[in-house]
Amino acid sequence: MFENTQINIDELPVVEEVTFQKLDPAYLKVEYIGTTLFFGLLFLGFLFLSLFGRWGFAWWIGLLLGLSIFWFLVALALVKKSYAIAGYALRERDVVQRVGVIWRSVTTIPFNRMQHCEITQGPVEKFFGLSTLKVFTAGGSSSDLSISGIRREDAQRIREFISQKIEEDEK
Amino acid sequence: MKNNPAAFLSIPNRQSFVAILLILLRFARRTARQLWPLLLIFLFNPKKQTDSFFLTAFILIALVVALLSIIAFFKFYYYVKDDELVIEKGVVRKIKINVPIDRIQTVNFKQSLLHQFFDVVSVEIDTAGSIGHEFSISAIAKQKAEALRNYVESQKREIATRQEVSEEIIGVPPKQKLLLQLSPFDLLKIGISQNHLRTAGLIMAFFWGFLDDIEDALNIDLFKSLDQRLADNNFDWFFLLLLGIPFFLLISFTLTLINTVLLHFDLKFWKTESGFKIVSGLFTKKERSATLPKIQLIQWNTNPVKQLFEIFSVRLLQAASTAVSRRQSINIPGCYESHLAAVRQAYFPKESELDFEAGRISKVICWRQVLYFGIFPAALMVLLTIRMLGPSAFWWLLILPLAYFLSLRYHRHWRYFLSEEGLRTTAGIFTMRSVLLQWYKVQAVEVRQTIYQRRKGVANLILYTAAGAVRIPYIEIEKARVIQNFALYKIEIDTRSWM
Repeated sequence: MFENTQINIDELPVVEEVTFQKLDPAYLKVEYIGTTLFFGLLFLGFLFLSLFGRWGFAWWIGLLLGLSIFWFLVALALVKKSYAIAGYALRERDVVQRVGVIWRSVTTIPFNRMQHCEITQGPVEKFFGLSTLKVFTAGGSSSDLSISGIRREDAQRIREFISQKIEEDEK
Repeated sequence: MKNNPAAFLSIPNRQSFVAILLILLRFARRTARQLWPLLLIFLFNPKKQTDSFFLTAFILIALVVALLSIIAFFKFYYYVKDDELVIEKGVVRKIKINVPIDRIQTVNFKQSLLHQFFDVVSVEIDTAGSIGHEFSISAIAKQKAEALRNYVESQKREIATRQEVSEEIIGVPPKQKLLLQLSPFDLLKIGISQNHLRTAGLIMAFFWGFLDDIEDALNIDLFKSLDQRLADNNFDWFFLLLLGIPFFLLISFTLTLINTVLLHFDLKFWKTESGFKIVSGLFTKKERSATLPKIQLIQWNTNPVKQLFEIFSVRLLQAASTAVSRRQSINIPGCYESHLAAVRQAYFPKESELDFEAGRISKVICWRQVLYFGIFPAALMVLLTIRMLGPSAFWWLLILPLAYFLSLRYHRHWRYFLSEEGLRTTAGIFTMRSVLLQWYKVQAVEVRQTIYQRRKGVANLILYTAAGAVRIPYIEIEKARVIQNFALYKIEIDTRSWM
């Protein structure tokens, strides 16, 4: 049977109307630790450079240090902001992710286009009991979803759910 | 089984002996390319002594590698077993690759001059899957290769339809219809209408690298000596430029023409039962095929010169991992409207019946274009040259009105056309690029905004497919959302497989 009914554009489900599920609050800590580690290493690098480098504490090292301190503060401020925006939503037929303070993007992948999905866990994430859920499509890495900051049990449940949906679609 | 051309596949086969020759040649060429500066030193600069120890070591390594590649040849087998194509290889570590025949997407042939001389082909086999599992056999006899491909195709049909195929049909070439054959005159038109600036850039890059190598090898500074000589003769730089630019353009024009002929000589384009097939090339004959389900989107270009000749260049983009997608697409450098129409009809049968609603992007994009292609380059050039040129460096600011004019043109020409089943976009300043996409080929939808775009109420809409993304930049956010929701709806209710 072939159906071809008229579609009313105004009645289509709207991605923007979903309520995005927030990430776990512990994820804030993960981000803070990650940012601090990154910049900490950078500062250590500067320290080594001025201690053992042949220029000593040259003016340009000071300049770079100042810049990176500034960036560090900006990055810390952005962690909070991006946490407020980041979120994901499961709908009946797709998964939606929203991210980004400076570049905000809303990406949607329908279940019937997913190849597979997996859970990964970094050491810091593991400490806080969090996981990253990754969803892969054939559309290349720029369209794959990677949702960090989901509680481990939740991530596993979501993965089960998605895998089941993918399987249903393949029937 | 006696008359079955594919019978040989049931037992392990080695490649043609030509493969050894090819392997050795490839090795020699690669070595020569890496080491020719060293040779130059050896020949022209006896003052610079090269350690004979290194030379011996190098020759020894070369011998070992050559020996290994010969052993590799004798350890390489391919055959068919239980509906799987099996490849065995490996000198030290044994590798066995099993590919289910119904997972094989395309079997492509390639022939270099040497291949043609010995009547062998190299076979590239590409399989489905988001990670491009593809592999190649570097030389097998042409009849065997053809038998292999026909066998794969008939087996795929058989597995797909679950019907018994009688033995006579196995290995019989499928029906195909020649759509297009390029004559030398067509090639000339195509060559003329290519983007010559790109060739110019390539030549420059190549020349730079070449000069660098020579300078390193001979330990001289070419530019310095050239500059010196020119200064000695009271040479006029302006005159050199006046003479040099047309000469340079002429060279790049000629090279593009030669390249076009080499690449697309005697190009033939067929419609086959399952999709399309293309063969072309003078020295290296390339054959490529695309099955219809695997084609994700279609692109075609035209520019003022092409319009004059009424030709288009067309690309059929196939699903593949990003690393191989460039090689996977079928490129037709030039064809006429009727050929383009045939391709569009095959990819998107309903296109001609549907109503398309035209839309334009926001004018805000002009500012981005002026910023990226006017203000940034102009500022950079002024900063870089102000020391050398003094106040006349500010002539670079003339880029600004040019960028403004071009950005207006860019905005004016950007169009998208929406329909029930798919989307078409057309964009460009002089070269107009069009893309045709069916909704059900889309993998993911993204709406993306920078802070600036959020303030202006515009967004970039990105539709990802398995053969690359289609973008609509700076579209009003409400429209972007409508398209996003509609595309998702179409993908989610469509039960057709995207591949």
